[in-house]
Amino acid sequence: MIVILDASTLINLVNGGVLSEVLNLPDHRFLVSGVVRNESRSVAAAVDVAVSTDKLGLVDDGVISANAFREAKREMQLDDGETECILAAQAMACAIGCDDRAARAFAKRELGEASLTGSIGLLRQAVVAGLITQSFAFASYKLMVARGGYLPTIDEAGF
Amino acid sequence: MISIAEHLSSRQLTWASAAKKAGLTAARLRAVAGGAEASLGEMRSIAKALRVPLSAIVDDTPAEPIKMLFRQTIDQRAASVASSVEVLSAQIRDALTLVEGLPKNTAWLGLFHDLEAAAQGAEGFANLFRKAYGELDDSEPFLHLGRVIEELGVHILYCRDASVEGVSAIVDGYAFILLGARGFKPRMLFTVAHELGHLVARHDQPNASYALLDDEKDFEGIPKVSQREDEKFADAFASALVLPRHGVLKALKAIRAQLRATGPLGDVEILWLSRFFGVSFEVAARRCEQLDLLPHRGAQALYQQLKHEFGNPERRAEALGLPARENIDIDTSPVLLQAAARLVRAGSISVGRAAELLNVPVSALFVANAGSIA
Repeated sequence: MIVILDASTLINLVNGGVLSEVLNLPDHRFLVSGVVRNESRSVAAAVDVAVSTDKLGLVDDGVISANAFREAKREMQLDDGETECILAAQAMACAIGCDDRAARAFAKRELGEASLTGSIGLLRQAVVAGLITQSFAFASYKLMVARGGYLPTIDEAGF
Repeated sequence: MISIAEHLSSRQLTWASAAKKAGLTAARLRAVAGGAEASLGEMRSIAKALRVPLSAIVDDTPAEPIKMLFRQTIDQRAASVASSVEVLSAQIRDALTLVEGLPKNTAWLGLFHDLEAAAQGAEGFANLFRKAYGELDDSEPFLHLGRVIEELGVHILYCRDASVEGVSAIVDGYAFILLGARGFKPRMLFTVAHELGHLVARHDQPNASYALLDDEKDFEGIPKVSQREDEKFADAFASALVLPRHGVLKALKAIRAQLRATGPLGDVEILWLSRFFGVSFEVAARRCEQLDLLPHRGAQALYQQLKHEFGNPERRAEALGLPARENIDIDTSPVLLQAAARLVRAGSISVGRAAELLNVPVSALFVANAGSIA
């Protein structure tokens, strides 16, 4: 399964100290847009490490037409990175990881609910895969929230 | 929206050089500029080569009303600034979507009621501002100017166009200062003071919209004396605001006594002065010239000498072992970041779009949200 991570999810995973665990999810291949790398210094470092070790790939922005991008930007009113994630996921018939409420609404409409996940969903999958414990997942989630993540309220049982 | 060809022309780039920077052939660049189907990757490379945001060549949402404000001054109608005007008009249009609902922020200009904004009176404006809003005497450095401006309600943003030094604007009753991001904060301190000078100059018409941009080239090296009255006023205001006459004289006296300096004023004293007041050597030297402490063109001569011998004045200061510069806080207005964070939490806008509107990294909106939660 290919999952394209947008900036909101990537920052949350880095802030929660759980990016490397999530990138180890079996049968998953994670991609990010090149522009996401510039959204945070801490994310840039984490992305560079993950890309150099082939845990993370980069979205090829050559597969997206500029006209489609222009139309999508006008319609969805999202930023360049979010728009690119959704269009790339459409072009590649894959999923996206996005934590932003407004962007998720469009992603759900364009890609379908089954192709949409986020930090919480990825934490849950990591628990199921035995990569982290439930309490570790909850501690990561609390860190994400404390560091400004735009996430819904959820308790430990949610993981 | 202006075309790729107009951006090229405005930025004095040739088709060949821009194509090379974008990793395309000149023929392909011409084809894309002519409307050929392009990929997002190609457009991104072209935007980078032009040094404009991607939106400047992709987004076709008009920013005409604000563009007209820029074009009200003759200089800003020139083709050489057309590209910057386009980018900045869109940025102000975008910022307005975030400030809607926030209080209008030009009432503070009432302090200057009945004063005439002429260059010879700029020092009076600056002294009044320092005392009333900076709560400073006539000698202290004004390193917290950015915070004071924010507290007055003027919204500070970083320019999407890095080739611009600064912009001041009042649109729909909201005052903005846009700054070119510079690694050397002392340069930005003077720029913010200069843009504030433009706002202050319009104190008698706080509800009249306008937009004014200052080019990067006018702020490099020893700033030239502008022929335009509004620039003369802004410069004189900025100099007096961050380098108050009495403060400069008092500091120089103390510095020279400490260094046991005799004879004409030299580069070392000016370097100390620049560090104390948080400005560049160039700005401090020019202020000394304005105060007749240096001969005519003396600032330029000293600056050229330092540049020739040391690369730049800061290297000379380091070689002399001068204490490190104090931090100067000039950042995107927290009020805007908080307003954006509220909209993101409500799902009214995406976090990425909010970051795009404010020209900050997405992570800045996370920090703002963390502050709201705390």
